[in-house]
Amino acid sequence: MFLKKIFLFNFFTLTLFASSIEPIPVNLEYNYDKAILGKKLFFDKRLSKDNSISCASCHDLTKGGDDGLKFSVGIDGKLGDINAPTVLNSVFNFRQFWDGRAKDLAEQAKGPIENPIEMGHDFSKLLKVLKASSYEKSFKAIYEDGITKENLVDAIAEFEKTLITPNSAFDKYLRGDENAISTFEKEGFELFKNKGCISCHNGVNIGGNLYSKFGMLIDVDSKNLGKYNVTKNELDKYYFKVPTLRNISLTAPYFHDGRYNDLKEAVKTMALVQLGRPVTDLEIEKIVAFLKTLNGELKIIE
Amino acid sequence: MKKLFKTFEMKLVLFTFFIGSLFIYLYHIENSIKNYSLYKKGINDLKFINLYLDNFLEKQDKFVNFDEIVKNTKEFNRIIDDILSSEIKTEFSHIVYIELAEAHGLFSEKLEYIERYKSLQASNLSSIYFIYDLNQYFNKSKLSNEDKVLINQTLFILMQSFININDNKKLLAKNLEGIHK
Repeated sequence: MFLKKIFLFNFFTLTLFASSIEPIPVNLEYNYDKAILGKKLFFDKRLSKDNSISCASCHDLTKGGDDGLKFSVGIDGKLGDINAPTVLNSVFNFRQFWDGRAKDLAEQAKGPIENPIEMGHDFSKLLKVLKASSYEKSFKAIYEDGITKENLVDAIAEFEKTLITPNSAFDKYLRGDENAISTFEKEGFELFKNKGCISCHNGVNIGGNLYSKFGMLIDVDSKNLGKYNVTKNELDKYYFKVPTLRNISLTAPYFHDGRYNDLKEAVKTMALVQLGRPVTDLEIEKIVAFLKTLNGELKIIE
Repeated sequence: MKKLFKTFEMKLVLFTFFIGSLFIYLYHIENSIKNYSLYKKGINDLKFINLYLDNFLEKQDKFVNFDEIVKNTKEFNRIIDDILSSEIKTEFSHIVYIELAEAHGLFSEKLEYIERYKSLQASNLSSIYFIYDLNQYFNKSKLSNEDKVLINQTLFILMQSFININDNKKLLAKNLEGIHK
């Protein structure tokens, strides 16, 4: 009996705070000139060694901000070993990359440019190429020291700041529009809270604000060791940044290794290996219906 | 020469030089005071954020939106980075700079601890449901009443421990041994 009371106390605590998903702000402050320059760079294939890959190649803004592939393809057809995370709403993430090795968007932007299996370039060579182009003038107009590595990633990061997706049906519901989502979707949200998904997926990005062990209760055979790759600390093995659930229905395949194409499979696996709770098919349907309400509107600056 | 110093023009030049020097001196003082206020505010903010983070680390049983924690840890890093990259070393003292650099190092360790704590807290909170399901499962099972009571009691101790009512690890270990048998 007392166990039940304690459970109810905890349950109440969780439910009370479970409203801790916040809508995406309609606008974020950013520097327009830098963002426009960053946009140009984001779509520029000259950022890769053989002029074949741009940031947008792996982060297709029309398809959820990723490439829809299990692993991305870099220069010379080289295959990566990790699923490209969405760039949309990445400004809200506490760290960047699955293993959280970059502290912010600017630091993240440095990674792929010099990664030999992604863009494979060399900053010193890239800067020379850009200095000999019309970029020289554009950079000088914004940055005193013109084209530098730091200014280049700063501009890209500024553009990425603008890639937010406000006004999803669920955000409208959070702002008080009771009819923005259906009863079925509301039931999905209740399940999302009551099954415990919200413990990790909370905040404005519904994730992206902590690390969690992939396969908390059941081993999931991950080849990638996550945060351990950065820290070499045994305690960090299989810890990954919890991904955002914003626009999740557009960003298949799922997980860091892109093992599932079906969102239902992903939900089922998470419930089992992270929460230890089997879920029925109907419950999965409801949770997926709720997740689909998280797709927002993307306005690309002009 | 004497005649030259006595001229009105020369007096004017000397006066201008004197006023100019005074102005530069006062400007320097003013700037130092302004920077001092900025440093003081920054260090006070660091203290407040640190208190907030300590408070978070004591909330084992509360569901917390981690965005707030992230905002505060990032702000702490930003402030301390700003101060360390400022002129504090030359404007004040090496000692203050070294102490802040040490605080920065300690904060990096604390941040690691906070990140680990966030992960554990999230999984602890999720486990409430798991424990409830587990209890229901055993209650419906064909186990003997004695075993059911033992399991129920063990889960009860776990819950108590979780909300800081009673942290009876010895009894918990003994019960787990009993269940295992």
